[in-house]
Amino acid sequence: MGALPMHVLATEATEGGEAVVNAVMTADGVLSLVWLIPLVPLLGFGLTLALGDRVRHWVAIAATTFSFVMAVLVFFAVQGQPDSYVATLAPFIEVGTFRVEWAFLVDQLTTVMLLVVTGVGLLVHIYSIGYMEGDSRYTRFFAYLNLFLAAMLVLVTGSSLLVLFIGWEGVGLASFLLIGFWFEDARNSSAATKAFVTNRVGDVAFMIAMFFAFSQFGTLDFFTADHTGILEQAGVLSATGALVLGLLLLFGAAAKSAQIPLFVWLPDAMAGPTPVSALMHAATMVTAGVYLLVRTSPILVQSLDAMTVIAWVGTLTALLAALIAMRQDGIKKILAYSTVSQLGYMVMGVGVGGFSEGIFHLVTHAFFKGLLFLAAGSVMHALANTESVWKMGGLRKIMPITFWTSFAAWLAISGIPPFAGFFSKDQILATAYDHGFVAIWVIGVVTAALTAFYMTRWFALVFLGEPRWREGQEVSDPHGHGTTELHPHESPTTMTAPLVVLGALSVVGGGLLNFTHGGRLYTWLQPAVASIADLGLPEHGALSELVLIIISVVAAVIGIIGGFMLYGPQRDLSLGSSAEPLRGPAAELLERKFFIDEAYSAIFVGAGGWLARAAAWFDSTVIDGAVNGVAGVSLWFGQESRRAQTGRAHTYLGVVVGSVVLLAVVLIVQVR
Amino acid sequence: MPIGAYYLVAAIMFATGLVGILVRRNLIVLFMCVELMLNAVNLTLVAASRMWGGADGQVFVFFVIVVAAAEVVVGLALIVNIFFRRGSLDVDAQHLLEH
Repeated sequence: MGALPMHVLATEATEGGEAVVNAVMTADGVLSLVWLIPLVPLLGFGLTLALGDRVRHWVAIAATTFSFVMAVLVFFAVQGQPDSYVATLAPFIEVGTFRVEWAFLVDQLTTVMLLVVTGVGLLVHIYSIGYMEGDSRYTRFFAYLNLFLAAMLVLVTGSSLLVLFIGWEGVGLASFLLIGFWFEDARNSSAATKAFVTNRVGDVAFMIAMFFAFSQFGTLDFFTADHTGILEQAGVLSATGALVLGLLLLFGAAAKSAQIPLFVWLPDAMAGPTPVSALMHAATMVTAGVYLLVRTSPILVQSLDAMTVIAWVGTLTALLAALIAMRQDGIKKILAYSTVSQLGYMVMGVGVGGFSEGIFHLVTHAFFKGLLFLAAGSVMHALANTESVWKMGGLRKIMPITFWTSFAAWLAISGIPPFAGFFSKDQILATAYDHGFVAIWVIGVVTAALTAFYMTRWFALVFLGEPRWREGQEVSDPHGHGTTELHPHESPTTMTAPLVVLGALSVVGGGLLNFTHGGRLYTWLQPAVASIADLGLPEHGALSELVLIIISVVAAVIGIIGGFMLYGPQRDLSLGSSAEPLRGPAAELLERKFFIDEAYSAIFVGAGGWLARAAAWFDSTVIDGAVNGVAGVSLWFGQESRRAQTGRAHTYLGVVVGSVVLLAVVLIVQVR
Repeated sequence: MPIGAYYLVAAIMFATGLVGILVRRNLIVLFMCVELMLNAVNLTLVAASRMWGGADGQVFVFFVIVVAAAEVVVGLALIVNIFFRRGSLDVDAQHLLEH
């Protein structure tokens, strides 16, 4: 296999299974080729763009399949050894003592992320064959998907903050391209711009975090051969330094993972084609922030204050987004706010010290939310891109596969055992409770009930009850011109197959991965995440785990019953959105999303506009004045001095003679 | 005679030539003034050469005289041509160097 230099940072296990990476060896094998995992989709991107419609989706799918197979091989290679591997490919930047290399890190956390990203990515590629059929830019869509995948894989394998950042930016670019894929519609391109700009805000925080980390550690590598990587010497940070770095990383993560205050881009990002929503805005890209926080967990555990802030940001995001999701009408809008809410759970999990639990929820969420988005795409595909759930209903019989897989995902996200979401969400809540964050736990349980409620609303309005559309009805096509007739049908196999795979994972994925608190995935991730032993958090709360489980299941059941009472098939909802049972000013507030978009628009766009006008005045008055002034002075000087040029030979001669005489006088005086 | 007298005569000749060039307008007169200045220099060279007892200055003077003769040929030819083209020898009549 590869002849590349290869370092193994072996792990010295300490008591209690907690581990600190601290030894270096060399090794080879499949792990030295880990750089192929991001590189091949990148080549796929270039090839697909270069060859165009001749290759359609084949190159992209082959590249993604390759990466998935590589990820599985890496998984087996990492299995059973608690080490971290760094595969160095080439030097990247060398300035004085500052060195960054194209190096890729493989450990247990990376392996999990690789499997999720390539696995869900492959399913979404396959799904897109059916969904994007007939689109005028079909091939380009697959090229962009491969670009995204390559960037995301760089992000999860990068072995220094800078390489991670390259993937981070690449993901932002790919997301911009894909959200604005149907750029003919101005709303889509402005949604793409909004996502890009909001992400840039977080990128700035990330960059400052990098500068700060470099000033503190003198390197950007996570692990180095001489144990001076930022994760290995996180303990040298002062309390303030750890707090600052933790908050900067949180702010960076908040942009990608759509946390308060930077979550506003994600719901708008639903303007992109639905496979994009499933891949980027549910399963992978938005997990980048959570991944970053878990990857840098050795830094976060240096500051309990930073952890607490992270936990509260996640908790409030979860609650706020769940509240907004209750009164949205778009089939994807509800899921988008649900995604924000679930990401809030993950960040909450990280904040309360449950790094493995956060990653666990990330994995199960990738299953069921990816599935929900793909199912939403399947429904929209059947209903000529209708978006409002009030124009759906009664699709249970027509789309059996979509219905049953959505059924599994609905129960999974609602937290009903034994579906996947139950295990992961409950373990986050239990961790919060056990570690003494009781207020966060209470909000989390309330949010779980809200989640069950709005997902029941979504499910009942889309699939149950009487149809609120007619066969053959003329509807305007949002992505085309004119109208099309409605002939709902089950989607083609390329679309339903990924649904079935994700449906199966949504049912069994949680239990298989991490049945008990501290189960298989937890043990697997232990070498890669920091120990929280030094934080001094309590081990257990007053209530036993069983009681906590019963409480969260009861909350979920209450939410589902509430949802069915208001939106179930027994209700007459034929009037569409005017039949909305939740009314009043509070519901209005939720429907208008707490006016957050309007507030941001007023504050940032308004203040930005004022600043821009002030700058324009300064430019036209002061800067242009200075420039024109210089020109005016030169012109005047030229006009005056041209008078010296008379054209008369005598004048010149006189000047010459006068000068010589003057020179002679000077010389004579000086010699004296 | 003291060397100063030769220098004085040479200086008077040179100054006369120089002032002539600066104040006169006729090209022929200007030309004569140039010759006057050349010969002022020649006189200085010969006198100095005589004083130091070397032949260098005197040889140099012959060169100057030869070159001046050639210069007179070319210069007078130019002046004749200018006169034919312009009908005047006034240097300030047209200032071609302006603009």
